[in-house]
Amino acid sequence: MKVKVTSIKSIFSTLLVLTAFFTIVLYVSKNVGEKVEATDTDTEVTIQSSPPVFKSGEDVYEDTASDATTPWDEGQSGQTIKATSEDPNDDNYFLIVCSSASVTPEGGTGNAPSCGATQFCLSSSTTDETEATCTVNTSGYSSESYDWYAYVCDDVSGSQCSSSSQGTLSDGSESPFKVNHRPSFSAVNDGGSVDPGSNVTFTATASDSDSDGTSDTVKVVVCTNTTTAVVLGTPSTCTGGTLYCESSYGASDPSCQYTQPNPYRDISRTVRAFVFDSHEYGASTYQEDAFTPNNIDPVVSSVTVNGGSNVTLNDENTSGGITSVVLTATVTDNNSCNDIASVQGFLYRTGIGYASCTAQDNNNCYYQISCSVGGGNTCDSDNDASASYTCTASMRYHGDPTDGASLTDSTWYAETWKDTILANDNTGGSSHNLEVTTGVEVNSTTAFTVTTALAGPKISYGSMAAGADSGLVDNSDTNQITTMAVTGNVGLDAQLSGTLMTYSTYEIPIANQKHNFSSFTYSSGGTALSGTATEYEHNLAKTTVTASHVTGPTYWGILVPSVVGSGTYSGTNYINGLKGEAQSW
Amino acid sequence: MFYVMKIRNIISAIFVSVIFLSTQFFPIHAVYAQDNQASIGISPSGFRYNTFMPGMTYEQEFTIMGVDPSTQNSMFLTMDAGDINDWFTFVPSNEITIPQGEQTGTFTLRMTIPKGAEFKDHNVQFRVGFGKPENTSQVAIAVGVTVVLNFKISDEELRDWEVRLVSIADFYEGDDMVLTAKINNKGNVDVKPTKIKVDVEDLNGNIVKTVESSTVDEVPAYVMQEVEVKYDSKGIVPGDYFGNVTVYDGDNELYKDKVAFKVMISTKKKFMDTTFGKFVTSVPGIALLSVGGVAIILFLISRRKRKSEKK
Repeated sequence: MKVKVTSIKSIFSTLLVLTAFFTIVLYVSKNVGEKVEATDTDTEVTIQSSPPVFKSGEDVYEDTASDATTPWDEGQSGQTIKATSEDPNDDNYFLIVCSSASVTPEGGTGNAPSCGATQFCLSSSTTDETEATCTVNTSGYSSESYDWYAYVCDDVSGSQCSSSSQGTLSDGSESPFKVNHRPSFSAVNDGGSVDPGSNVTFTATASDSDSDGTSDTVKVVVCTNTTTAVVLGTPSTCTGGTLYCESSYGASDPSCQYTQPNPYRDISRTVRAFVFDSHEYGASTYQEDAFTPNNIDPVVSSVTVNGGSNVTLNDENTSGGITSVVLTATVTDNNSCNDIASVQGFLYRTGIGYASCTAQDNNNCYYQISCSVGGGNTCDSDNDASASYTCTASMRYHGDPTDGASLTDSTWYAETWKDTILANDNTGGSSHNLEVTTGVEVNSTTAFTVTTALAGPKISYGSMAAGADSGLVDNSDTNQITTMAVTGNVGLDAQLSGTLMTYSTYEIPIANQKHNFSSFTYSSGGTALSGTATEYEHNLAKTTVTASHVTGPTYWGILVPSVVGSGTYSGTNYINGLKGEAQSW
Repeated sequence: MFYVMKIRNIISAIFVSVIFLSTQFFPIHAVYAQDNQASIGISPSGFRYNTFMPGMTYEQEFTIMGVDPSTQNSMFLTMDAGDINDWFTFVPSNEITIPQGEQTGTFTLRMTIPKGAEFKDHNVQFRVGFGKPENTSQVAIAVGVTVVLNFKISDEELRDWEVRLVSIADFYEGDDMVLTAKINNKGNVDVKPTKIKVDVEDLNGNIVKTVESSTVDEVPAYVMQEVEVKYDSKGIVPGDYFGNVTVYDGDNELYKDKVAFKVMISTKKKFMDTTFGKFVTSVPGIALLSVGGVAIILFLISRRKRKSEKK
């Protein structure tokens, strides 16, 4: 460390000495020179004003260069011609560009020059040997090519101008400058409605007459109608909107195709079309067109009835006599599931059929059952084509049974129950219906209610003497009537049986009771009761009117044995319902 | 504390009163407000099929209905089949209890036919009824239902089946397409479809894929059951489709139907499309995860080592 500090010190000292030495030397030499005094002599010379020239080594050029490939766009400002002047008098100068080789110094305002023919541009007064910029505004320039002549003129009274220059380079920046014009564009059309999933073709009525070099071509870019501008690219971008399609360049009437998605709502959509020429210069304005995809009928599929299982109907006394039978289907609409306006179900016996199920009949036709979205496939958005629907038919207890193997089992044993689902979309007249492929059976339900006048239910023969019988048993003997009401969907017969009537050790034989399905006189009519369940052809018909079930009475009579203890006898009579022959319903 | 208890008692009393009064004005058994009625029902009203082979076992479910829900009901099942009574069994038992508040109950009748059963027609029946009512005066009326069973024992083979419905469940792209068919075997021999073909149709009406399979489970005699068939769904991209299904019995097109289904973007693909998903499946992502995993393992090992050294 010590060695380093020592060497730094010695270097610094050396530098200090050298600086002092040279300072002294400079001071002395200057003062020695100045100490020589001169003698003043007046002289005079008049310098004449000379015209400026284009500065050697500096270019005269268009910025940006224009040629047949990259012309200037008509109507655009900002195209410039630049040059640099060299004035012997160091005067400021004007750069002026004319359409002919003719310029008049001081022909303009102040010292500014003017052109003999058309003045393309005039720069501001610019410091000598500083590049001047002359801005050309091509608005209204209808030709495609313009020869230009540039001059530099000094900004003094008695101004003079240089000789002309038509550019010093050969890269397109020299005269002439080329002007490109906007394509013409009057309309766009879509060629008529097509189905979702198909192509809609947008065609622009457009052309471009420019032909300098090669003929200009045109393309169309079709965007949503919120688009404010288009940025050409691969693909192009619609600012503020979305691109539908764009064409390639063509001689005229360019067209492009947009593949409509599927599903696609059948609503009017307005597109905004922009046309560009092959120099990417756009038409003066866009054109709009409204197109509407075709409406497509909905499609019903996946139709089911009761999940493919047979239907067991509740009797009238269970759940209000109603059985919920679920119908399901999927409805698909290529205009989106939101296009589906209503879905209805129809449930019917096949002997009636969908065509004849035109009004509600609780025996055989459940009509216009309202369906709603359900079953897992919901309608999520306009991009969703399908939804599943569920309809619940409230089948009544007396719906026609279709089970069995013969006409004895059921009038309709050879039929089934099917459903049809009808879907309407929101375009009037657009609908579809589909019937389930395989029907289901509605099972026979044997069911009934027995009603008596007495609570229990019970019947009573009242007070009778030994040896007496009931005599005439008719409707006035209300306590001796049991009424059987059909509460299922089949007609009924009855099995009747009974027990002894007993009191203490006394018995009244079972057979002393008699029964009949109509009023009877005990001594001459009726059928003796048995202790074994015995079938009788009650032939109660199947109920066909929901609020009015079929009923049938059974009249009961008794013979009291001649020798029997006095008292209140009791017993039990059994009434079993069973399905009657269908021919008797 | 005393006042809190008193208020609680008052509230309880009001609550009980309201419940009591409501049962008087709104009886639970609205259908059975009358004591002079008795009702009962059963479905179906017989055997669904009527030809059985010796050695077969056939089961059928029945539903009892229409009973008074205001009380618990005990239903007694009685077979009247003469010398073939022992063929029949009520499952779960020949006494069915329907709880208070309910109106329906189910049971299964199982018929087990001996292998040497004689070929003949049978007409048997069973009854469902309530127990004998308690009665000390007049004649009580007890109701029941009788189900008549007509069938024959035969060695005749009956081959008869149908497809009740088919469905194709929605699935994720890349997963198998699963078709479910509900087959109703109405015959006395086991059956299965020869093959099931599906023409997959897109919304534009184009058939994008056709698949078929003969790998289908058999359905036993007199049974209705669902069978599943799986298909390779390769090439079916996300979207809405129709499956045009054809079920064959031999060369016969037994059943045709149109069903709808959706193919959804796979969760794996959804994850892969996220920024994180793309990262973890890229080379740098895999490298980083691998290094990170190794580092964690080494850390845990060294930590364990230090712990054991301390001991």
